[in-house]
Amino acid sequence: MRKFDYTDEAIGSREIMIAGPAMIMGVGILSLPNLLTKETIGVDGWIPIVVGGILFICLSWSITKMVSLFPGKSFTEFTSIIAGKPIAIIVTLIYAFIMFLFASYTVSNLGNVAEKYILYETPFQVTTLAFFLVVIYAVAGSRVGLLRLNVMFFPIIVFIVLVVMGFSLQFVKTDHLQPMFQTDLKNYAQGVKSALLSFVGIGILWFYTPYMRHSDRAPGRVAFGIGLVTILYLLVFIVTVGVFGHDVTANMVYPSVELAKAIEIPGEFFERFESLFFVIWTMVLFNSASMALDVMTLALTTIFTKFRKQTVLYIVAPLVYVMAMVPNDIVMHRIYGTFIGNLAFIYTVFVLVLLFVLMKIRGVR
Amino acid sequence: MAKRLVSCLMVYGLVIFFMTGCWDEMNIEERNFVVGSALDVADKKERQDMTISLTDQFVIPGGIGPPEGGESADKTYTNETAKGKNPQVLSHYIASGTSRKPSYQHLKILVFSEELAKQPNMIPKLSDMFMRDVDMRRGVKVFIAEDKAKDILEMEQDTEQTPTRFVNMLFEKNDGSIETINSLRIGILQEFLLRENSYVLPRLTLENEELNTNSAAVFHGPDNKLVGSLNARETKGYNLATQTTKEGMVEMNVDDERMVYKIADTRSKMTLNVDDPHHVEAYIDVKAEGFLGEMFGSESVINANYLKKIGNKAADKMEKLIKETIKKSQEELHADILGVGGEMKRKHYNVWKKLHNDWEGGENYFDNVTFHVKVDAKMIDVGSTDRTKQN
Repeated sequence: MRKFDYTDEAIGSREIMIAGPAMIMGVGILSLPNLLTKETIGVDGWIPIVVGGILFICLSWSITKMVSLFPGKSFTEFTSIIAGKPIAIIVTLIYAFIMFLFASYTVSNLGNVAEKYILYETPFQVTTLAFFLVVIYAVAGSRVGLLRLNVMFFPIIVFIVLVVMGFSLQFVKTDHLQPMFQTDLKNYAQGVKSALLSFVGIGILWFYTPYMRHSDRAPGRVAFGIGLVTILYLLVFIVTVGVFGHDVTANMVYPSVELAKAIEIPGEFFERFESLFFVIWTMVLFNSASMALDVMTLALTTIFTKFRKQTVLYIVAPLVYVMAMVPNDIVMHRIYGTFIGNLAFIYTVFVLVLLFVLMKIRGVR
Repeated sequence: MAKRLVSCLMVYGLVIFFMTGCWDEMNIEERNFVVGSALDVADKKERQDMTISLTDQFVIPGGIGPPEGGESADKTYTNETAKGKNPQVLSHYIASGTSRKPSYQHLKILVFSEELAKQPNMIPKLSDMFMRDVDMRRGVKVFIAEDKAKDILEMEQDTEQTPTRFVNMLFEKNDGSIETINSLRIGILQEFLLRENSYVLPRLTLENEELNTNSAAVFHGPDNKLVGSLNARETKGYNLATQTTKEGMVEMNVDDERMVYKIADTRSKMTLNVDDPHHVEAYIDVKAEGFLGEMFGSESVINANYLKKIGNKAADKMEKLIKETIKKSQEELHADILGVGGEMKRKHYNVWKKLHNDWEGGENYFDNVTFHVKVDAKMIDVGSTDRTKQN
């Protein structure tokens, strides 16, 4: 038997590998097929997914690589080495703000879907509050504990997604998978833009990698994790379009939920498969929301070093909850999601480029 | 100590807060399950929106229960009808008149009357609610009734507890047969509605209280309206030409004696030649395998040449059926139910993009398609008897 070695507060390479996918999947998986079919023809949407996936693999690899050049230094510490203290503080604060928006969006996303499919009468505020309290509880505890929880959840999530896809295979029509390669370049670009939204959230790597035991192992592992998500997304996309066809997928609000609803295991034994799907989806959202909140408190505590993590958390948590109440209809919700997605992506790339350029100019090693 | 007390109180307060409301609590005994819905024309007025009637079939759980309860003569279902303009409003209206909350989660069939379906774009309008409402499942089967749709829900039958269940099970059993159109899930209907090609729906007819399922309702793609129907022979032709089937009978004469070819499975494949987009050539290639089901003659059938001859005769008959369907679709219905347009979109996207507006409307290029039908029927077994009669 292996030795029990979890008594330390260092993040292992397996935890960081799962953290990326766990953060990303919550927002993307429900509406990804819909967003992509809107822009592309047939199943051509797989190309934007692959392009987006590769882009994010490179991005996450570069982020972790850069962090691992400064072993043991937190994000704010090494950005101050590279860019000076004031810039480091501003960069960190903006990250905290993005994570703040991200956490509130995730919470509101949960409430939105729960209200739509499961709890019709229960007030939105109550569903989200119940969920959010658990998230706060998780964040208030050990940071590594949170990441290890991801590691526990992730296989369950992947398993259920695979089961849903497996049972859907019987409804896949090969006719739906043609025509191929008919989308023009402009629409491919639009598709890539939509696909990028489904990979949002890797900014957490800036903050978690410094706490790793062997941060030099991170780049490879993280790239592998994002690769996993890409493959999972590809599978979900192709099966969804294969089952519903291009036109229907482009006209559904949450194709993946419909896919889970469409499953009927022969013999009328198991018809309500979507309930299971919602369970794992809640788990995914829990992962995303708690990590976003955790990274936000982490970012703030590295600036305001006087405060305890819990104090910061209890101050910002009510704000997150209030912010989650803002997008109160489906259109607002989509706009909010797109906004956060674009903001987070552009900002992450911006910070990466900024730090890299400054490193080269100043010759920091 | 005081701090502990405060935090304890806070936790209790929260627990109480969350215990007040089971907002979504709903006992199964308080539910009323709708298993079938039928939509009819209630009142046809010109220059106005049509008034429709919605009939919902509810199951009565007490009537269905286990048979050892003695009297099983209880009624097992009840039908409620309401008239108005919107199905969603009507179902709400029906709900307000029943003591239990209706649940559509177990809706199995949805029937439209032919009269309703003849109105342009009526099917997409009226089926919208059945695809939008999150309670609805995409597995609901959609049918067209020749006469009143309500009659299907009131049909007399003895084998199942409700007419809905009867229709549902019948079509589940008959899937893959060449005599009936495969049951159509509402999810697939949405696909048909969103596409511009023509399509067919299973059609139900009642003759002397007997349900007949061997015909098909044909919908014209661009305006989604019913333009005609396929009779029993044309339905067979349609299934052979477009579907993968695994059951069905083909009757033919061999040397002036009747014979029946029992289909084990058939597969069809379409290839197109679009060199001249205005005169597309379509090659329909059907491969069938089957058994000798019955023969009235006295020839020995354990004979390769003779079996081949029977197979060829069966193939000729199937070819004839397919050609009848093609003729009707081109000359009478002008509806591309054979899926040439769809195949063109998949394989020759650029050609399709240029002429899809003139495919089944405008110039009607579909009518110019030349079909080349080739059927290959194999006889793989003759059953357990060689001859039942000496010559």
